Amino acid sequence: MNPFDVNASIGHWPFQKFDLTTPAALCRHLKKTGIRRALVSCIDSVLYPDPAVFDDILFKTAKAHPMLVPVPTVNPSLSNWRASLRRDSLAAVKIIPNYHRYNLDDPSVAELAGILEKQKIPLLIQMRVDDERNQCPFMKVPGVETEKIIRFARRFPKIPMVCLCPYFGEAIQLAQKTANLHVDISFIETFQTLQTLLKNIPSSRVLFGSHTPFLCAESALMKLSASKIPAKAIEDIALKNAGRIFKL
Amino acid sequence: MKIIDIHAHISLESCRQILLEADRLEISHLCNLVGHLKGISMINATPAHIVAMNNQTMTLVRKHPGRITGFCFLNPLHDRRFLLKEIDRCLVKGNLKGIKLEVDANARSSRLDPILKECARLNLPLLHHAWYKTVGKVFNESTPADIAHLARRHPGVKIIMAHLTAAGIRGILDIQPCPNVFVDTSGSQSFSGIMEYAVEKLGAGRILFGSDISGRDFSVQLGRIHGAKINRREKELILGLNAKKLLGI
Ligand SMILES: [Zn+2]
Repeated sequence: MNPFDVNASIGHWPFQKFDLTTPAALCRHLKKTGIRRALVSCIDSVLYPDPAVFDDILFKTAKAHPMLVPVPTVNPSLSNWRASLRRDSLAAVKIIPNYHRYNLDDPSVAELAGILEKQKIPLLIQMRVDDERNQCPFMKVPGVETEKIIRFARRFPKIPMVCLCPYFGEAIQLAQKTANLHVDISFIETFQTLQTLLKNIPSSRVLFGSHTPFLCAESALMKLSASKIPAKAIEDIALKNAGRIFKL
Repeated sequence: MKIIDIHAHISLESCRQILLEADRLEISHLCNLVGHLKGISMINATPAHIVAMNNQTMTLVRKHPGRITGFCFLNPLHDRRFLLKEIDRCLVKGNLKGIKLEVDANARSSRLDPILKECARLNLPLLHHAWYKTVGKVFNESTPADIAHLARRHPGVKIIMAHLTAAGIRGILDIQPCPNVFVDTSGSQSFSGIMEYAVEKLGAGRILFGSDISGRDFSVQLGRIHGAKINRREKELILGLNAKKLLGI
């Protein structure tokens, strides 16, 4: 089953060399690996001070590629973040609290959540982009803490939220302790990953995410295709949950 | 195509499940480095623990001939006489085929030299843990640069450095000038680009598929190889041909 990918990005990252720097190249790659459609955000928006600059380019260039669903990265600690939401039909909004250095308890995050709730826009929370153990020594960025995400999700129970790149143990905590948090599978790994994961949380809370181009999409695809979970659970993870949450 | 996993941690308890899963993913042979034993940590293991862990591996090899190859786990900080006795017991008289070292001593330590001398004398490969860690580094844990130091001291020993994706670009460059160092594909996440870089700098002949099962998923670990932009021959070498030659199986 060709899945919908909720965790794909495009752009440059100083610690890895990517070929997938244009929407056309990313589309070719996704098609070749068997991914049907993807939520795509801009890698440059992680480190560049104003994410809207690169997001504008993404929204413009992705228009020609219906298989890419652009997602803006919003940094609510900046003065111009409200403008990032003024785009037509947003499938989702992404936040990266650890790289953008704010707390989920901050009033501006609550204001953002209020708008998302009103406009019924789901939220992607990027928990990390790499393995903290291997980070460049002068750029140590710990993952977003699960307890903080759980507290935030409970404050805004009407917003569906998808946490990107949690580890196995974190994913279980996030889904078990809330009703509106979901997880993508990109960083989750243990022996017989999905079988083991679904012993702890229902398939309705798990979504296919590859974290392309940081990670090899084939690892996420094989995690799904080679798993021994029931067909219904595969369908949930590959397509159904994303369809429901992002209305695609 | 015979897929060989050079980096596995199998215990008597987990063996059945792991072999069934390996069958499903068409992994035909596994190299058991050291399996977990209840209540015993791999770090700072006592001589009695080491004996128990190696007994477990020897039992697994006996029970699954042609399916599991076993390595002898050692702690270089132990008394030299014990180390030599354990090598004789497991590798000369026993059925194990190589040595596994973890984080008890750094690879630069002279404590490793008697072990490596035995490797050279008996023509045994050594698999050594390595990682470039920014956080969470275990005291004495080796980096790829430390492995290169060890390899230069013992150029006649084939050393398999664990965890390609944790060695990173710098780690690949560290071991590039040491033709006796190989690297296994396990570690961290399936970061893109690293396999291609390793093939370019080391050649596919120095890279071996390793899963680091049991805390890992065979499918994810295989995905790193299948997803890499390298040719079929290179994938075949990595997935099994190199290990076949190195282990003599
Ligand atoms: Zn290991």
